[in-house]
Amino acid sequence: MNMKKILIFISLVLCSAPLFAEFKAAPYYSLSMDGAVYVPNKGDWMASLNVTQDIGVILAPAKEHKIIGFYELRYVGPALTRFEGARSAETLTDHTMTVKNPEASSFVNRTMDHLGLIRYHYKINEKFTIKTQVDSMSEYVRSGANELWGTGLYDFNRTGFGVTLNTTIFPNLVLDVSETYQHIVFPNYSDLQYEVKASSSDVAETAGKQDQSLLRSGFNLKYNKTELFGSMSFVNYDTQKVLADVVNTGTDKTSDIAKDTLFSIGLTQGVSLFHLIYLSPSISYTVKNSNQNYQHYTSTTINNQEVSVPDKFIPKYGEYKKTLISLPFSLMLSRKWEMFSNIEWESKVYQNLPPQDNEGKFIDGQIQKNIYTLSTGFSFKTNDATRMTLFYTFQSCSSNMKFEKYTPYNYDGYCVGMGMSFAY
Amino acid sequence: MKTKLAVFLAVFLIISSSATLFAEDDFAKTPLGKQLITMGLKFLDDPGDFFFNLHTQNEDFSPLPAGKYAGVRFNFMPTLLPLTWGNLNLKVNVLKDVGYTPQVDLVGMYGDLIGLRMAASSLSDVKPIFTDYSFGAVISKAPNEKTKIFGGVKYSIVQMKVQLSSSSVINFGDFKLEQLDFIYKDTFVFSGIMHETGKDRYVVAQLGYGSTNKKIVSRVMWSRKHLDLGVDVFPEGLFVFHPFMAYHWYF
Repeated sequence: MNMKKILIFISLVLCSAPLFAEFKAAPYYSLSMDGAVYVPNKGDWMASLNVTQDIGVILAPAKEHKIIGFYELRYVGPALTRFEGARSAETLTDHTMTVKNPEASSFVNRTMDHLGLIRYHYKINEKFTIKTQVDSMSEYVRSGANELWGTGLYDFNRTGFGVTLNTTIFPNLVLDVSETYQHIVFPNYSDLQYEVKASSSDVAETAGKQDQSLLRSGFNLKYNKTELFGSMSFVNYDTQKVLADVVNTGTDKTSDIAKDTLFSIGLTQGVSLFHLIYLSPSISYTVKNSNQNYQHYTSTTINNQEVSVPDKFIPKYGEYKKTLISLPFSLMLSRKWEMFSNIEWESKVYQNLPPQDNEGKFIDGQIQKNIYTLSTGFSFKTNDATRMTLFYTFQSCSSNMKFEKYTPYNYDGYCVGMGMSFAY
Repeated sequence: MKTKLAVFLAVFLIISSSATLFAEDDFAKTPLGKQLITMGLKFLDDPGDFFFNLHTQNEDFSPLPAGKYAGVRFNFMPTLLPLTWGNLNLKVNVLKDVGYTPQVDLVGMYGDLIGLRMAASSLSDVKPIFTDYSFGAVISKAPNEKTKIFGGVKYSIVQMKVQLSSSSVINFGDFKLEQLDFIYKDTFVFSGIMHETGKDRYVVAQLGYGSTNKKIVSRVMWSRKHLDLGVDVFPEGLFVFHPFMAYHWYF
């Protein structure tokens, strides 16, 4: 997303403003800033910052036509200080002292997203509305102090389009059927296999970072405040090859291109009590299938040289089943004050990926992760455009994965934060 | 007179010099010591970014209130005091928000480090360079009586070149700071919201993005008849949050 695109979009929003009265259109602006301090029982504390700006315009030149333009800039990263190893060297020395740079090993990842989209809605008749969308997104990721913005290994550019057919079957029963295509390019990405081999870190999470196209078919059936939704996504990698069992085949890659399939289904029920209490319990189930394999290497010393040797071949290592249950709740205390909370449980089972013990050796079984999250807080509307929020979150993660040299799997975390949002 | 210059620069380099002064083994192991060392390193890593953030505090690229033709503003803290960074921000209205026409304001800011000029005036061998200005335009439209949505473009620059005398060189571990020499400039696209909360009272929130440095600058400001209080947020800054106090007059 370059400067010219941003300028054009802002000009579109501002120049369309004078037309609002005649064309029944409205601008939209929102800026929110959330700062929080996160304290886990393992590892270092961290202060985080989330800044999100949305700017948009809704134009309705005629009753059956609606055009929506939208641009979002989002930053997520550390707050208070940069949490960045200012020097690549971990120690500073002079004649009198040796000082360990306290942040050299505590770099905190940060991301910056630019998202622009244009939607066009055409109401064919009382029953059918067709919605189309084109969108473009650039995400910059800094995952290390040596990465400048725009040079990150995990930077990606995404372009896509989608079509949704909205059908009002009965006045209270609405069905959305959608088809979406997206192409994602990782311009700075290097060899995934080398990276995994080199670090042996969370292999399940490092998958999927390469040029790919995504085709998603979805539906959403809404009856009053009950929603049933589901989707099927097909991820085809442009060039990434399926890894081979080096020991048995003598080669590290097959001729097959990596492919993932994700199936997801869920249900949400909205409940409103006395116009004061709002509940929206939700449950979803996701299954990921993948043909990608994982070859685990270990370091050993041969002839006084440290070399990596293949240790274990894990076929289809990225396949998992995930269940997510959440119970959001909000209580209107007054016209300005609102209390909110959410209880969430996520369970993820990697079907083919065995856990590791404290030393990193694979043991029998499947990796299982459970994440419990409890969040609560208050929000206060200080005026028509401003809202202040105070929140607290407790998160507990548990897993049978005990190798936590690079990534913690078993920990509790506490987070306290506050936010401000300004919107029209 | 070189001492005078060093004293002045020490104000700016307080973080890193403090870390150096207290960098005994025991102190370096304390949380405060670690934090000071970290901040000192960060400053040494990119002093231009820190100065640019201060420079941004001198700017005000929000629209003029309805019915006003011009406005002057200066940042009182933290730039004028304690850093002796004089600054003046000028806004001029060129188009009113009437009918289909949006309001258009032109904005410019100029600043100078008074202390640096005074210290340098008595020096013959050290000629510091300091440049600080920005200019741009703000387009705004009021969808209702109390709220304005605005956006615009600004060009912003701060440049500094100061050679420290040999007695003023700051040593920090393996690193040595002998001069400050940077130029930090960018063109920002920004947008925001201005909401009237009472007579002569406004809350302003805005965010700008500079594509050259991929830099985000954001501001929340509560404005009264002449007083502006607010916080600038620089996500990648040495200090992420920069509170400020400024004064303005509208005509």
